[in-house]
Amino acid sequence: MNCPLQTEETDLLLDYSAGRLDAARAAALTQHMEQCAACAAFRTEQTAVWNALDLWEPAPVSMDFNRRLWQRIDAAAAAPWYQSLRDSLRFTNWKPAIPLAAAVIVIAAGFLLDHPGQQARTPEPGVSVTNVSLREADQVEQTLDDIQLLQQLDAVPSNTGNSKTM
Amino acid sequence: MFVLRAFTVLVLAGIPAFAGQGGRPKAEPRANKHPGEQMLMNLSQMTPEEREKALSRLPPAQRANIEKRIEKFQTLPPAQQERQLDRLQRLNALPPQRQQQVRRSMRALQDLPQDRKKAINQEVRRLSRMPEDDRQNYLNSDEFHKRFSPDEQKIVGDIAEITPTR
Repeated sequence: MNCPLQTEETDLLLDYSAGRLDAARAAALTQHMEQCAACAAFRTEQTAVWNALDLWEPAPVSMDFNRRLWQRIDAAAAAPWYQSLRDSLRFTNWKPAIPLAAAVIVIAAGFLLDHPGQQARTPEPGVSVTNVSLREADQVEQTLDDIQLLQQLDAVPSNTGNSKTM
Repeated sequence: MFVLRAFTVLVLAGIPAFAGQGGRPKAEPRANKHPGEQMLMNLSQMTPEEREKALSRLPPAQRANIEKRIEKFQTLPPAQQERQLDRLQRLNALPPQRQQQVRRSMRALQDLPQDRKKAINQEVRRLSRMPEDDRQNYLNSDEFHKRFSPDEQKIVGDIAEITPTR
C-alpha cells in the first residue's frame, strides 16, 4: 500500500481515525501503520482529538438565561432616545460607511479640481503684472477698444423678420 | 456590507469616465494669447488695490480710463464676458491686415440703421449654426447676395469669421 501522507490522501487517514473506512481498507491501513511511523503518529494525534471531543461537554445554560435575555431586550427597547442615539453613533456602526465616504471625497475632490472657481483664478504666468508699461497700457487699451466693438454684436438684438437689401 | 462594497467599487470605477466626459465642456486652451489680451486678463483678475499698483506708473488719465473700462467689462454677465473673449481671441488670431479689415467692418456696423444691424446680427447667428463648408457656400450664394448689399455682405463675412460655430 502506498503511504497516504506521501500520496496526499489524508482523507483516508481521517476516515480511518473516525472509523468510517470499510474493514478491508482499514486492515490494509493498519498493516501499513505498523511499518510507517508518520501515519502511526497521525493516527495517534487524530485519536487524541476524537477522544477529547468525546469528553467535551457544553456548559449548561443557566436556569434564568431566557428571563435575563428578555430583560435585556426589554431594557433596550425602553432606553431613552439619547442612549439609542449614542449607540447608533458608535464608530463600529459606521465602519461599513467608510469606503462610501472615501468614494464621495474622491469624487468631490475630482469635481473641484475639474471645476475651479473663478475666485481661485490666478494671473497667468509669463507677463509681469506688477508694473504695466506705457506700451503694455496701449495694448490693453487697444484690446478694450476691440471688446467695445465686439460688445455691439451682443447689444444688437436679433430680428425674426427677414432682411431687405440696403 | 457586500452591497456597500460593490457600490463603492462601481463608483470608483466610474470616476475616470466621469472626469473625462463631464457635463461641462472643456474650455479650449487660450495659448499664445495676444499681449494686450493677456495683460487685460491679468489686470481683470487683480483686486482693485493690486490693479492700482500695477497701473501706478501710467499717466493718471490713462490709468483711470483703463480701470473704468475694466470695471465696466466686469459688470457684464460671465457668459457674455466669455463670448467677447472668445471673439477677441479669434480676432487676434487673424493676420494683422485681416484684423484691421474686421475692425473696420465692426465700426461700419455701428453706423448702419437699426434694422440693418438686426438683419446682419440675425444672419451672423444663422451662419454660426452652419458647418464651415455650408457657411462658405451660403456666403457665395445668390440668396445671400440678394438679401445684403456688397458692404453688408462684407460685414457679415468678417463678423462671421470671429463668431464661434455652435
